[in-house]
Amino acid sequence: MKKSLIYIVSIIFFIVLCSQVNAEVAGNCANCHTMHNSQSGSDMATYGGTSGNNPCLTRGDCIGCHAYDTSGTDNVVNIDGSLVPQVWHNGTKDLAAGNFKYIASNDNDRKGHNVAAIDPEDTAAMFGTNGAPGAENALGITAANFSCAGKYGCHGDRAVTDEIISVKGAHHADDGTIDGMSTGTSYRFLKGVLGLENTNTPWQNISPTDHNEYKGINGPDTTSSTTTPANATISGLCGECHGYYHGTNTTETGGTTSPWIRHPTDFSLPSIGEYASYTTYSIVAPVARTDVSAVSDTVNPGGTTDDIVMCLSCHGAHATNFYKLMRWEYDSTTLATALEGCNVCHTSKN
Amino acid sequence: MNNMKTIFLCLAILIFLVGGVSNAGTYLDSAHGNSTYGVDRTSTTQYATGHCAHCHEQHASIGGDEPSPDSPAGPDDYLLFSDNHTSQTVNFCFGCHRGTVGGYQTGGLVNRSYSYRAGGWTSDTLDNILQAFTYGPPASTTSSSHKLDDIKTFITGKWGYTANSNPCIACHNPHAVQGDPANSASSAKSSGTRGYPVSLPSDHADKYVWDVYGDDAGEKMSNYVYQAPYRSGSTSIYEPDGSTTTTDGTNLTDYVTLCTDCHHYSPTPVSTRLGNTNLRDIDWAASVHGGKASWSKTDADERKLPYKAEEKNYVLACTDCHEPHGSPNYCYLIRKEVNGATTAVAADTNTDWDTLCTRCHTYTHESNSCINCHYHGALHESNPNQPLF
Ligand code: HEC
Ligand code: HEC
Ligand code: HEC
Ligand code: HEC
Ligand code: HEC
Repeated sequence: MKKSLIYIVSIIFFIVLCSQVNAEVAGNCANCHTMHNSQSGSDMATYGGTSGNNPCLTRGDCIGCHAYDTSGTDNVVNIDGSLVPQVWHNGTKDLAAGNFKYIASNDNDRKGHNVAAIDPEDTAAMFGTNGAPGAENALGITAANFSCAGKYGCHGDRAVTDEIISVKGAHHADDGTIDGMSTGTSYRFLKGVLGLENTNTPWQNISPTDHNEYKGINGPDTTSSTTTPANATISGLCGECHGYYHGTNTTETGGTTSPWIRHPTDFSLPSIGEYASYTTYSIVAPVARTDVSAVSDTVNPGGTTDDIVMCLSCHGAHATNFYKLMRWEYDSTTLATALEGCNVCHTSKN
Repeated sequence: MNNMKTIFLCLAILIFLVGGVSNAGTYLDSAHGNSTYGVDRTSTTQYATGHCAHCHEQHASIGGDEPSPDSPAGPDDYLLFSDNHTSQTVNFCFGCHRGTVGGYQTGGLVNRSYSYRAGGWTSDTLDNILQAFTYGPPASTTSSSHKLDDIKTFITGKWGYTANSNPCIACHNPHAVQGDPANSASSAKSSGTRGYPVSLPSDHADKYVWDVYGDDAGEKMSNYVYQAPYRSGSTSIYEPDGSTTTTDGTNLTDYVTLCTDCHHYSPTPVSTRLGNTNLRDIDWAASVHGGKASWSKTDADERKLPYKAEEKNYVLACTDCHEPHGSPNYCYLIRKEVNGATTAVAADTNTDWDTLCTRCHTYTHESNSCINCHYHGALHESNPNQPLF
């Protein structure tokens, strides 16, 4: 009797849940959710090891689902019909943001964002006094709390402390239109950020014709708050934590024209000189765009409008196989390799 | 048909020419970008030799700290590792170009005087650029140097230079500059170690085609009737690279064009050391040491070898008499070694100037200091058509 009551309550609960659900994640609810984290006396929230009970009744925390099988080779795993992008896997093709395995498996902290749940950062100096290199505002980020989402992470609503609650609703939101108004309708659940999510090969940058389009703007002098990206750009997102590298503070960022004092971002490639030779989109050193309505393989430096340097022109977002989360081997002992990405834009410095 | 061929040929040539001025990179061919002996900052050894990161810091932070030098702390113009230019002795370039000790280049960095490198005067002890610019006021009144602040003032607003430009950039393109001699700091130049250290200031107007000067055929002293002077202590080997046969300037950059870019610009640069006056205009075409034929037969006669009496119209290179950076001679960057032997110009006297002039002239007046009458631009009192220099 008691059991069937629970059963009935569960069904009602499920119906209520379902009524709020919009089709974004696919597959059976139970692939991802567990009502009580218990079935026949066994834990159900087991993705990524035992995570305990999770908000939103998920069967794992972010890492549990998104690093579902760290020794597996799939960059996207299929859990009974639900496709889950893998930020940490052992395959050869990293997702667009990179692969956390580079900071996890060999303890090489300098290759990426050391999210605590994967491998905490060992170098205390990396947090400075404000919580990140170049942090303009106090972030409260430490080696122990640095997370995927929420106040101490990058995804979701950075005003909300709890990771899962900070992305609440996002996984089920209809993100057919990326307008940055909510976490779910923001580029990759980075609240407030615009962009075009690659639908051809989801979550990946494959070639000049098959990639995400990142949002940029010709305006290096706008400052992000800790929770809102300046001008809804991807570089503005980075600026929420690394504010001295992007924003109005001219003694730190150097204003709006050369001479720059830190490498400019959200700055349009000049139409003249060496920059004019960057004409085909490069996935080694990509540019952001003001118009992200369609994927394009051409770059046409205009000086004021499009084709914009961004943080992701040089860096990955999660972790890469390279020093300082670079997109290419900037510390290679072979000079031409080390400068490979710089030369995509600085075509005369080769 | 023939017409078509001509058009086709012209087009082909055009494509070739246009291709030639494209943004072909030169950085990896430069001294800084050399992967064996190029830039290598002691505080950024994780990066390969020749790497951008030795001079440019993307965010003035690595591992949460600014790599050395970090005083004054914080990011600097052009992403450089220090302030670009502060004074005659404090300049970004001097972070490395300061000799064997105290610099940021791994192993130190030696650069010699022109008298050493071209003149073969290897007993010159000067071994770095900072020291050369430290000559002259305020540190010394018995030596001289090119005044960096004055250069900066002069170039600002010209040819694409701005108030933020480093004065060294007036003559050197840091992404193209080559050693001359290349990678053999404590040797004189030799035909196998040549490189091109300077770039033409006025070419900076388009900084993406601003390449080294002196490498192309039209950029040599052989544009004029040139005679290379002897090297130190010799009467058979010649400047600038010790050749025993090449004496016509085909192996020397056209320094006349380079220097007169500024020194024959109107108005000429202002010297704060010479009481804020404009420097003399060097109209080399109208000078006897330049393009004008010798006005007096005796003058043409009374010259020392390797200059020959028959030739009345030699055009000298500025570097035949002047150091580019600084000199232990009291004024005007006069070389300590000229045409085979040393000079000693410690004061404005006849005897002292004679040590310079008699390197080439046999005739001297027993009178005032030579330069009282024979200065750049001087004209004969009674015959203004006759330049006295
Ligand atoms: C592939 C994984 C996956 C599947 C399948 C899935 N969910 Fe979720 N769901 C999540 C994740 C992750 C969260 C927490 C983060 C978020 O809300 O974006 C979540 C959050 C929720 C929430 C709380 C947030 C909100 O939108 O109000 C509800 C309710 C929910 N799921 C119900 C369901 C139901 C009902 C089903 C089956 C029809 C289902 N989910 C299927 C992954 C999944
Ligand atoms: C129960 C499994 C599950 C959990 C837990 C989960 N996710 Fe997801 N996540 C998914 C699935 C499935 C998708 C793919 C469907 C989609 O795009 O929403 C996804 C997609 C994403 C995406 C890509 C969205 C896009 O635009 O393509 C991001 C970003 C993301 N999750 C972040 C998170 C974060 C951050 C957490 C932890 C707070 C989290 N996820 C927790 C299953 C999960
Ligand atoms: C939530 C705050 C936050 C945001 C947003 C953020 N970062 Fe970071 N970042 C950090 C912290 C904290 C560290 C230092 C800890 C570490 O290295 O793991 C760091 C370190 C880095 C490093 C150095 C990595 C290393 O291993 O030395 C790079 C590069 C970097 N971030 C780039 C970016 C880029 C690019 C973006 C935008 C796509 C970005 N960050 C967004 C917090 C953030
Ligand atoms: C996506 C294109 C892009 C890439 C990749 C790139 N840059 Fe830049 N860089 C620019 C642009 C655009 C400017 C600003 C030019 C201007 O203001 O005229 C710039 C400016 C600079 C400056 C400052 C110049 C000044 O006038 O103040 C330096 C130094 C520099 N870059 C070095 C690098 C190095 C080193 C790399 C490789 C790590 C690199 N850049 C990679 C586009 C790029
Ligand atoms: C032109 C390439 C380029 C761009 C654009 C760029 N970075 Fe970097 N960044 C680098 C390089 C290279 C390093 C490694 C350190 C160095 O050599 O200066 C680095 C290092 C970092 C670090 C680590 C600093 C430390 O103390 O270790 C952070 C954090 C960082 N970048 C964040 C950003 C953010 C945020 C943006 C955008 C606002 C950005 N970067 C844009 C090239 C770039």
